[in-house]
Amino acid sequence: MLPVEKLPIDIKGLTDQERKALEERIVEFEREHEPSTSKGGAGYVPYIRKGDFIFAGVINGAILIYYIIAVLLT
Amino acid sequence: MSNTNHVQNAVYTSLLPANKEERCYGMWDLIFVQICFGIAAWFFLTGSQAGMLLSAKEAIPTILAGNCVGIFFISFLSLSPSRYGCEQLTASVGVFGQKGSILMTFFFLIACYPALALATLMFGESAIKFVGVLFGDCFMSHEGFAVTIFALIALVGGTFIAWLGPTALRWFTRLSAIFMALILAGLIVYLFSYHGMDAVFHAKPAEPYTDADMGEGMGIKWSKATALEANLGLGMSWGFFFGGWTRLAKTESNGYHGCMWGWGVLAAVAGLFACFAALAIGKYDPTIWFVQVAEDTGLHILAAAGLILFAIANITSVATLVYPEAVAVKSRLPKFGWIPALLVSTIPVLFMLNNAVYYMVSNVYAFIGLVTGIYSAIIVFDYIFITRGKFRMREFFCVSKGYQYANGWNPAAIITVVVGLIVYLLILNPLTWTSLTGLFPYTTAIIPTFFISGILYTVLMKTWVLKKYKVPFVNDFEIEE
Repeated sequence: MLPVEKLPIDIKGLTDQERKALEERIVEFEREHEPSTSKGGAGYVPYIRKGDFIFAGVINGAILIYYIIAVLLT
Repeated sequence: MSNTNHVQNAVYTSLLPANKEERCYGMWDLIFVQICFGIAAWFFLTGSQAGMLLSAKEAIPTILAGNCVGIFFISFLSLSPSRYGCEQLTASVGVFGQKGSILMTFFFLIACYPALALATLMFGESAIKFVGVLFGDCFMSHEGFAVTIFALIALVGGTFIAWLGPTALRWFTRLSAIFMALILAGLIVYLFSYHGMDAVFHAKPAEPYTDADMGEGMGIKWSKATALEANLGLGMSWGFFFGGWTRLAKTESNGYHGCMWGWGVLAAVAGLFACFAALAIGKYDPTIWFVQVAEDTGLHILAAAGLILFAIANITSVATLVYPEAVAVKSRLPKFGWIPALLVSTIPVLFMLNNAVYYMVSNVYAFIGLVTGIYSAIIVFDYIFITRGKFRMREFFCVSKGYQYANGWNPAAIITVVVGLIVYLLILNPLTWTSLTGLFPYTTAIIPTFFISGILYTVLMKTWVLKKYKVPFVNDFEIEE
């Protein structure tokens, strides 16, 4: 992995002020959050919970079963 | 412009990652935004079309499954933008490569244009009926040129709201959500008091595919598959939009649930009542329903009020579509100013402001589903099986050296895009609505395309790309070591 100094913020079209602000944010993210995100953890905001996926899966699974029974099996 | 305002503006137009303090959307804000986004145009048209093809007993589960399961499949797209505060296509750089993500920006735009055309044309259809109610039969109350003129006004109005930014957009969408709730409530009262629940549930669809046209026993199959394909296409059409909103979500859960339920089951309720109205009235065009309500009840003020509220909501829908589009353009091509980014997001729509597009909702959403389904499959399978959302933020913004893969392109993603397009087109041609292989209507086109694309991408990454190229935090930890 390339060290930070070899990865310049070179996206085109930024003003000097924007480039400076972007650099500051990235440095702050690398310091505060990247140790966590690099291991699959939380970034700027709290991490999603497993229960969120389970809840969504149960509701959508029920809808899918309803479709199969009402449309495909008739 | 003060320094603080300048930086804040750069955050909202997606040049800068949005940090925790700048997140302004809770789950309910996102649900309101997404309900309004959906209810105004897209859900009305796809729901109405389901009601023209299927009975209520079949249309209800088709609308719910198409929208809810479709968006559930792609809901992982909400996570990385929340985590990194970056717009969807910026967060896609780690998957597609620097140049590959620009190709996806182009995909995003071509998926948006027909959807924008539908919303503006629906405003146009509302406007000509409103003119008809107020002034009677005249040039501006007929389909054709008048719809195009009004659609143009909607496009300009929606673009202006998008130009104002997310705070203005939030207030417009809240207001619009209230308007749409009023319309829905009125429509529900009309349907069940004037026609009755029994009549709606026993009504025969007005324009289903018939065995005479499609072959013995094939009419109902085409009707079922067409309605499901359009609703799945709508469900998956949100793929490119997640990041524009969830990068401003207060938590990953807020972004995940706010978008999924707002665009999914809650907005699909509008599709259900649109379906009931189409079954009861026997007309595809939702704006005709308001006129029908006025004629049936003798209360012409209802038609005028409904059409105004509907038109305003459609302008807000245009804004909620244009804003993330322009954010995506600006985030990948920052040399574009905010106004040029808005123009790139809207000008090609001018060529689609034609009545014919308004009546092609299946084709429109099959096309959009094709484009977004493949993109979404790659991102979702990458999140689950390859990167687990582990990206190096600095590389997003280092065009020359960050996430290069093969000269800026991830070959696994590009091959998958090509194969995905071929698979879909073998099953269904979204423009001619014919099947080269005959697999449609026995299967939808988007579901096999989604899974074949995702599996192919995963296999190519694990057996080839990850052995050939280094990807930060996935197979490259040199600095830490």
